[in-house]
Amino acid sequence: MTVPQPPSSSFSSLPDEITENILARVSRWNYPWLSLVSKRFRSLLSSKELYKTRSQIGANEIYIYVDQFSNDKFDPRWFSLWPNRDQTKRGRKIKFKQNSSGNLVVPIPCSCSSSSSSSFHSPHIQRDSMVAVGSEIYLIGGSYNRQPTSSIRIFDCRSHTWRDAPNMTVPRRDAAAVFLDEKIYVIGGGCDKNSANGFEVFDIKTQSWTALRIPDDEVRNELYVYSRAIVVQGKLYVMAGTRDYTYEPKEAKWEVAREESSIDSVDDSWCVIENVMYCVDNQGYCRWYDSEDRVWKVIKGLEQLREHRTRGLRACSSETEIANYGGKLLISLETRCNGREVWGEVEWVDALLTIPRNNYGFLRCFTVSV
Amino acid sequence: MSKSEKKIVLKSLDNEAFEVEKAVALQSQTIWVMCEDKCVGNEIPLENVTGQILAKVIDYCKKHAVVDGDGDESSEELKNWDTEFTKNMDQSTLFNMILAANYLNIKSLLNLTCQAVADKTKTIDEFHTFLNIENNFTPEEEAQICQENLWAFDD
Repeated sequence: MTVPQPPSSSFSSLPDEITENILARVSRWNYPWLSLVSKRFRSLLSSKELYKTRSQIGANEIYIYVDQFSNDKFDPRWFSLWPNRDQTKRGRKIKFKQNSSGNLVVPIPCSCSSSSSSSFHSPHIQRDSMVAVGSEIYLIGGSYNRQPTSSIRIFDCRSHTWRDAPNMTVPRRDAAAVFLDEKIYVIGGGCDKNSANGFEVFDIKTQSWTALRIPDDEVRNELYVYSRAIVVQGKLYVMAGTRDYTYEPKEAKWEVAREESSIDSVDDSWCVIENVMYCVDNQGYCRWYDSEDRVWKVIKGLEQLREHRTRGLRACSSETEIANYGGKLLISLETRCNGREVWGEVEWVDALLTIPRNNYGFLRCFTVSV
Repeated sequence: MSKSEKKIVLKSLDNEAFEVEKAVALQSQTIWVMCEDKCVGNEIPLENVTGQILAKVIDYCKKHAVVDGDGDESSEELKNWDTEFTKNMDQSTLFNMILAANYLNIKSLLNLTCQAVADKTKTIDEFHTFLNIENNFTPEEEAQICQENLWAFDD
C-alpha cells in the first residue's frame, strides 16, 4: 500500500485566485517591491482582478490633494497617506521616508502639474468641486486661465492616470459636487446668471448629464451663487448664503433645513460619519450637528486638539476622520456618542506634510477604495 | 432525525477519522455537495487533507457553527478567536490550511488564512521562503522595475 503524500507546499500548487486573495490583503504601497518577488507576482499585481478583490475586501486609502502655487503658477500635488497601523517592514534595499510615528505620506507619481500638459492639464479648482467615487476622484469644472470650464477630469487612484468624462451642460468655476447613489450632483458655480442649469446630475452608469430644475425662484437664485453640499441620511445637505437646504433626490424635493446658514460655522472642512455631520469652525473647534436642535455643538474631549490653534482642519468622510493643521498636521479622530453629547479622542497628531506658507492654497483629503 | 444522522465522519488522507456534528461539517461547501449528491453514508473521505490539518479545520468550524447559531452577540469574541487561531501557526501549517480551506470550500476560513499570510509575510525574502519560489528576475530586470517605481524606492 502506498502512503499518500501530503500536499506539497509550493507556490505552484496555489491557484492564482488564492495568491490574488493574499496579495489583495497586503498594503498597496508594498506592491512595487512585491513585484520584485517573481514574474508571476508582477503580472498578478498588475491585473484588474486584483483590484476587484481589493474592493470586495474593502481596502481603502487616503488621498490628499494639496493646492499650491510655485513660481507664480498653480501647481497642485497629490499625496497618499499610509498610516502606521498598516505599516509593514520594508523589504531589502528599500527605504521609505517616514516620520517619527511611522506614518507615511507618499507623493503620487503622476505628472499633476499644469506645466506638463501631456498627461494632465489641471484646472484651477475649488475644494468643493472635487468628489471621490469608488477608486476615482472627479474634478468638476474649475477654470483654465481664469476661464470657467465645463470639463470633467477623473483621477484613477489605482493606476494614477487621468481621463475625461463628458462635459457638463454649462461651465462652472466653483461648483459644489456630491456623490449619492451612483450619481454626482453638481450645484451652482455657474457664471451665466440667466442659466436655468444651476443644478445638474451626472449618471455614472450612463455617463450622461441631466439638468435638474429648481422650481422655487428663491432657492434657485440662492444656490446659483455659492453653496456647499454634503450627503447625509440619503439627502443632499446644502449650505447656501442665507439658509441651509436639503434635497431629496427620489422626490426631487427641496426643503429648508435651517433658517440660518451654517456656512459661517463650517469653516472649510466638514464630513459625515454614520449620518452625523462634523465640522471644524474658524476658531478651531470641532463640532457636530445636532439635527434635532439644529445646532452645531462642540465635540467634547478635544481640548488638546484645539490648543494647536487649528486652521484648515481637514475631514474625510469615513470612519476615520483626517484633519490637517495649517497644512502640516493630520489627525485621526474616533468619536463616541453619549446621549446628546459627542466625545472625541485624539488618536494621533503628527506632522505629515510641510508646505511653505506662501505657496499654500488649500488641502483636501479623500477616502478612496483601491 | 435520529442522533446518528446528525453526526458525520470525516476521514483524512492519512486515515484519521473525525466524528463531527453535521451542522459543523456542512460549513464546507465541498462536504455539503458530497452529502447532497452521493450516497456516501456517514463517512466522507477527504483525499487532500491530512489529519493534523483537518483537526484544525474542524476546530474552526465548531467555533463558527456555535457562534453563528447564537447570532452575532459575540462577533468581537469570534474575531479575537480567529486572530488567536492563526497567530501561532507556522508557515507550513498556514499554507496547508489555505489549501484545505480552498479544497473544502470554506470561504471565511480561506479569507482568514490569506489575511494571516498577508499580515505575516513582510519582506521579499519571506515571500520567497513561504511560497517556495525563486526570484526569476535578472539583475537588469530588477533594476528596470526599481526604475519604474522610483517613488517607492526613493531614499
